[in-house]
Amino acid sequence: MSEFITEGKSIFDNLGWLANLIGIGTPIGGALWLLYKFRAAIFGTSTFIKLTNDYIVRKWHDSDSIKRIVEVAIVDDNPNDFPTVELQRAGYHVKIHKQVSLKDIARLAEYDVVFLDIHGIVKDDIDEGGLKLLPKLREANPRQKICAVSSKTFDPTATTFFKQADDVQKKPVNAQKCQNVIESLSLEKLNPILLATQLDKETSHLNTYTRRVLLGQLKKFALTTKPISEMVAQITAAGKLSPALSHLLIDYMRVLRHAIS
Amino acid sequence: MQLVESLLTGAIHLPWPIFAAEQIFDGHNMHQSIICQKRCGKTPACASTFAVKGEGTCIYGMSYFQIQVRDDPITIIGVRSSNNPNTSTPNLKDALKGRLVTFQQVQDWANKTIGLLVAIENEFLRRQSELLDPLHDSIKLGQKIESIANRLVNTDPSKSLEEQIDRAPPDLKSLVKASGLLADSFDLLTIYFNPAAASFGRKTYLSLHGLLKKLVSILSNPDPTEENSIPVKIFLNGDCHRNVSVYDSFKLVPFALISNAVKYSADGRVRVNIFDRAGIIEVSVESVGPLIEPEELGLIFNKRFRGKWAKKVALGSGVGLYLAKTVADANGISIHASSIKQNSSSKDKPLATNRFSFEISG
Repeated sequence: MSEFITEGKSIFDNLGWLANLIGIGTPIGGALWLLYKFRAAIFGTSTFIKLTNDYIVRKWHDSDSIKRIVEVAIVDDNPNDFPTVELQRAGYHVKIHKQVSLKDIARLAEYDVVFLDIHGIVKDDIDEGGLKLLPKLREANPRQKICAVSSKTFDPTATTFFKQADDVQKKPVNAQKCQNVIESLSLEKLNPILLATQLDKETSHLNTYTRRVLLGQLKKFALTTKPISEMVAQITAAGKLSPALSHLLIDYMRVLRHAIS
Repeated sequence: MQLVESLLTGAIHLPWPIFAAEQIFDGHNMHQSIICQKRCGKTPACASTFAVKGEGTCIYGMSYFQIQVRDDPITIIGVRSSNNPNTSTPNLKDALKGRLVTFQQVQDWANKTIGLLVAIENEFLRRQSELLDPLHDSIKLGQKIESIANRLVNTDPSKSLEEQIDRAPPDLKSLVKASGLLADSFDLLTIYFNPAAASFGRKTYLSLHGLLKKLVSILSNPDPTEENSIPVKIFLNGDCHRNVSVYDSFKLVPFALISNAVKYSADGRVRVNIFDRAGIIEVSVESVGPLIEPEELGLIFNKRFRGKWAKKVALGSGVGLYLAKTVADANGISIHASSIKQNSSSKDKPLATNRFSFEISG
């Protein structure tokens, strides 16, 4: 062994410094370059944008993908004012709630897009239920998109309701209009690049290693069939998730699962 | 309700004399000081400048407080603050006696007054909401009729709605026009009762040329038994392929301007022009109608204002142009008006070329 080392040393001693630099530097540099080039494959992806470009972008087609993912709720005592059948036939997941209770807020807040009327929809408050429901939904899930649907735009006491909504439509809403509203609102919420950019911003305080672990956990969870409601408990890399980050991650998980399914 | 209007009724309790909206309101408990009356009269020197919250001593040795009650700056005059002991100026000892006021008292009074004004306003809005409630079903029905009428005429997806309206049988055409007018009138009514509605929802892209074509089709040749005795022809000139980002209410701006021109047209012709000038789209509505006097041009968009010559031509309530301006403001657009007198017209019924225009970036 010592002979081998001595021989090796003599080889280097006999060469000039430049030759030595090339002889030693090239393999080390090459190894480092390979490590850098395949760092994502070896250590895992560290940004949501990269993960999105690798796994989601190619499989994402705005209208079709949205139809598969988006959950729409129509909260109106007169659902005939909505083209529910046409929407369902077009492939949207639409649920109708003729009346809700203020206790149902957590469940309602899970929808991506809610068409919300003012009157007659909340059992606990028939007259102004929608007015009270909207801010509570906003509080429960600030990412949810709400379209206020009422012909009461003339009523100055309802101004806050309409101003708080993401969009306002008159009833009856025709199928084309309804589809346009759903698509534009849900794309603002579920567009993968937008989501990834927001998530990268939201996790920018984490170090690269933690982000790699976080993304690894997400990918692993996406491949399972576990319900998304269990995800927040399974993602431990970033510690206790803030409500904002939880909502973003839930939306991202749905998009990721759609892409890898 | 404005503070000054409420103070004038005497219903708001005023513990001290105040100066608001260029006038002095005497206090119910503490009357105006003799010093203030003698030295300042009706224009207190202390109120010449205003700090949103503050207290001070005027050049004549009396204390004053300043506070904002909603939009109104208020100065409480001729009092004594704890920073102004009545022993410091012997000649004012009597004038300052019994006039001690603290800023906390002023603040409490302002808060109670604001509370009262808000309560009055809320009660007014609640009553208005209750009175307008029956409109709800009518608006919904109007919307439904328009939707059905458009569905009936819109049978060929390869052609535009405007094209199909033009080619529809007369009865169907009338139905579409009438339902469109009904829906737009309800929309105007909505903005009239709640101007905030002009900016509800989100801005979307709209073809301005397409909108004008539809409006021209709807508003051409109205029922001659109404308003004007002659059928009016509307000419649409120019072209624009650019879309504009506007609120849903925007359509009411050209609707109100064209309706107004049709109503007052003296020769049965209204010209609607649209020009695209390097990204800025100019729309103008021109017609020959009653002269708008130069001094009226600045007032023509005020609620319930009507030009003196327009009053002689047709009945009206002076809200059409007011609503057009309300909606234009919500969309960030300014409407310009001009009226060029026609020399050939009679003195008792002067006519002019009236032009209303606005610009919007595409």
